[in-house]
Amino acid sequence: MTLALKIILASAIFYTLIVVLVTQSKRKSILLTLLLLSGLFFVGASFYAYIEYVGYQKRVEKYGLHELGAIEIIDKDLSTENEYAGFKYFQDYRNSLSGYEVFLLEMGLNDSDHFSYQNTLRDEIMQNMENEEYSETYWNTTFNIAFEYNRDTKLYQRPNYNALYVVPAAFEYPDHEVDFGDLNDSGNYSFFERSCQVLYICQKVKTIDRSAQSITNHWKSNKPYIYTFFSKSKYDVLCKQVVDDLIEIHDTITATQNYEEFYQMYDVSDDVFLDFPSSAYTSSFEYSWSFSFWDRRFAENNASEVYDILKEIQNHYTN
Amino acid sequence: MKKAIIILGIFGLGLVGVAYYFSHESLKILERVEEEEHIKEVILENETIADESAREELMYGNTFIYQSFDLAQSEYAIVNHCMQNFHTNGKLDAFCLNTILDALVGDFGEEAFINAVIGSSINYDNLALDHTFLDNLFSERASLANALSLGFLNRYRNPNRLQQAFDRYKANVFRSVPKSLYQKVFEKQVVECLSAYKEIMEQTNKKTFFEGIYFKADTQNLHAQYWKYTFWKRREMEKNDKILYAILTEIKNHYSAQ
Repeated sequence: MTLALKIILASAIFYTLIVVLVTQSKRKSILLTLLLLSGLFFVGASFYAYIEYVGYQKRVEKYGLHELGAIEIIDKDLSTENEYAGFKYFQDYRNSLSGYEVFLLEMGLNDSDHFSYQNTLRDEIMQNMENEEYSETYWNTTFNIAFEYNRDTKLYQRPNYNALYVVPAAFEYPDHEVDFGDLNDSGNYSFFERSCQVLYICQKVKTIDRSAQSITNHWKSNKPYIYTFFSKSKYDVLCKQVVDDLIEIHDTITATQNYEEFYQMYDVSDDVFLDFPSSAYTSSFEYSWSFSFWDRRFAENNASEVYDILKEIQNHYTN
Repeated sequence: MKKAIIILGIFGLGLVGVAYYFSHESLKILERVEEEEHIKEVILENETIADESAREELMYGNTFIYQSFDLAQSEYAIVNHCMQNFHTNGKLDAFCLNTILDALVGDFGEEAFINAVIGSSINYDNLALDHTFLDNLFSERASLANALSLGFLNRYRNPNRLQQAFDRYKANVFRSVPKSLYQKVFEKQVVECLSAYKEIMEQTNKKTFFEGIYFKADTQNLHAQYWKYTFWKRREMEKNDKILYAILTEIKNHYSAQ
């Protein structure tokens, strides 16, 4: 309860008291006292009212009705913001000029351009492979890139086991920033094109599930293409040796006692690895790759399926 | 008498009521004032925060906004060759400078380039004129941006071209350079240059006056201090001193009239 309310309440009580006394008393002296009291009350009340009125007037003068203040402040706020905005405006233009500077400086660095050109070409070649998938050119390309092309004799050749080695189990991505030289040179370009195509095949091989069942299915669905597009004459020159060797090695290994135990130990290449079944036998082959080939097949549990496939290929091309 | 007592009492009560009304009103005013003060405080606080972040944005804003433009095959060959040369010896020959500037001004725009040069002359850490700006601009090993800016500015040494460009872009520049920025960055230089010009005009023998200045500047290594005088000597040689004086006066008047 504020002081003003208390005063009102007190005055009301005081006034009822006076009214009660006025109605009750008959004596003149009491009435006179009451008159005096109410006179004093009236004077006091007028004084109080006057004081409050003056106080109110003063406050109105001092603060006004004060309802536009907030808007003034917002106006002021905008002007200070503009000060920094003015600087920011020019800083942005300066920064744009620096942006042009960076652009022009980059233009002078030819190399980045060269690599981006090379990468664009590579993407194009790989995209092309994907578009041609399972067509005649696709198969021809796939069969050709595994072998080395001799420009003089215009023939493909198989250097040792390399042909199969370009598609290893785990293929490392070549560094994308390898410089293939000036791609306008046809020699450089064909080398570059071949590595792009090999990269594509490698990526594709990685996506194939090599479990026994999947390998058999994969072979069944694709073998017509291979028999169609890979001629016997090509096979004799490029693959016969490898296939024969692989089958011969498999036969020898599996005929040796404890071969399963041994290959369980040697899941990777090792010095002792080529002592089995005997170092004389392993060194009679041009390349040790064929032994680790079977090691990996044993580890992947798809050796017998792969052997069957190789056998089928051998039979197909001998007849 | 009884009536008098009661009437006096009623009037007294009425006056107490009036007093209550006014005290209530004053209280309302006081409350409102307090509330406003609180709002003001909050706004002030927000303003300080906004100010500080705008300030910080400027201080950390010395970066670049990546830009690029397409070039015709023939242009590309020239610009590419020029930029390779710039990488090796840090210089652009006149032909390169001209070709690159044409391509750049074509893409960026003349007005934007003017703004960028104004932007380059400001030190955003203390919001004042960057005193290293001119040194960097004329430096032997100027950055590409500075070399291009200088090449761009050189195009306006011709008095007619200067006047044309000023007439075309002054409205925009006046609009985008607020008075506060002008006062912080450019006012001192403008006023100094103008007073130096007047001083030179008052000299009866300009030749000896300049000889004296160049002698003092050379012997005491005070070129920076006499820059405002030698500036006008160079303008006189380029025959753009009168136009520049008129332009600077117009700029000064524009901002002092605000």
